[in-house]
Amino acid sequence: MNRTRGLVALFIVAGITAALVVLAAPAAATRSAVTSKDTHVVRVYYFHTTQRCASCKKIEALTEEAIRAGFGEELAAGNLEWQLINTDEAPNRHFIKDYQLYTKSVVVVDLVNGQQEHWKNLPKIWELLNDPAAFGQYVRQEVRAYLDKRP
Amino acid sequence: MSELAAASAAAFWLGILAAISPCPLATNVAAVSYIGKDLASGRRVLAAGAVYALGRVLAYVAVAVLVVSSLLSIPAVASFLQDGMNRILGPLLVVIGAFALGWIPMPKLDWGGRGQALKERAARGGVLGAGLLGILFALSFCPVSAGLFFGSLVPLSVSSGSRIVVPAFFGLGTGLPVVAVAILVGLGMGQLGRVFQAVTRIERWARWSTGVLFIVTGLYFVATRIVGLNL
Repeated sequence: MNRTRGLVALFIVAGITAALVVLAAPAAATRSAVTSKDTHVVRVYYFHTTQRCASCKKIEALTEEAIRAGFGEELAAGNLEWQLINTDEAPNRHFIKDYQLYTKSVVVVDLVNGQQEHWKNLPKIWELLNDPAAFGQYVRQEVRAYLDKRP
Repeated sequence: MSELAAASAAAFWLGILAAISPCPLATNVAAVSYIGKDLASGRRVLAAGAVYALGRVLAYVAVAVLVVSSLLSIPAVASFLQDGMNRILGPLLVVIGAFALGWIPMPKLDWGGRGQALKERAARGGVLGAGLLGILFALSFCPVSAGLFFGSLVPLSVSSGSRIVVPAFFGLGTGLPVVAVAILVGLGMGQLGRVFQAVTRIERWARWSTGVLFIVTGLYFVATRIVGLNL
């Protein structure tokens, strides 16, 4: 009697396991198919205020120059975006909290299927402001690292 | 070199970077003028320069302690120090300049001889005034100093585990160019004055120009930070 019950329980467990494997297999296949079609976009923001100082304009120009010179193809293909945001404008104020902004900033963001995955504020722009070559190299290196974060 | 020494040297360099950028130029010129105005006394200029640097050190250490201890959020502090302080700075500089030029009379205090001495010292703008000026100018952050302080110095302070020494070196660095120029100008002009026996006349001129400079700098801050002109 006990043996029969044990066999029935074993069949039930085996059946549930098999059903789970069968159900899970297409789901996994679907997930893998979606991953291969994921859109991956890197966005570089320059956050400024209405008051524009000389150093702030220089950072904007150097960053834009670094991106256009280093990633022309990615920009044309839409894998890389360059956006200027005025944080003094009411709809943009949330960015201050979102990215913990403490002054004019260059922030690199990683978007997979439109959803933000990672972000990084580039603090060394202020240290490298007087060295355009090092500034450009720093920005390109950080953007490249984000472009290489393929999902 | 120990980690703290390396972090302090890096902080000192960050301070110098903040001081030599164009945005604190107006306050740097005002500070040089203030510190260097007692042309006859090299010792007084040196003391004023040292106390000015100490004022800056105190200000940066205080902000760093508050931020590193997470007592205040970085975006909120940074916003106040860049916007709020710079709005206060303009009118304050105009008032200080007006006092220096004698346009606003010093309050009459009947403290006998001591009161008179205090009044004279206040009118001359003593060494203590240099310290207060150091605190005021340090707390009036501009984008470069905010970027270097919050973006580089605060992480450096956290990683080195030093809330006081590392920010103090940053403060020294920010004060260095002003103090160096003020000492050179002060001592140089002192020598010149003695040579031509015209110390009193030069000092009077130096005090007058300091007052004018404070008013002009104050009006510049009012125009750019309160009125919103892009000058």
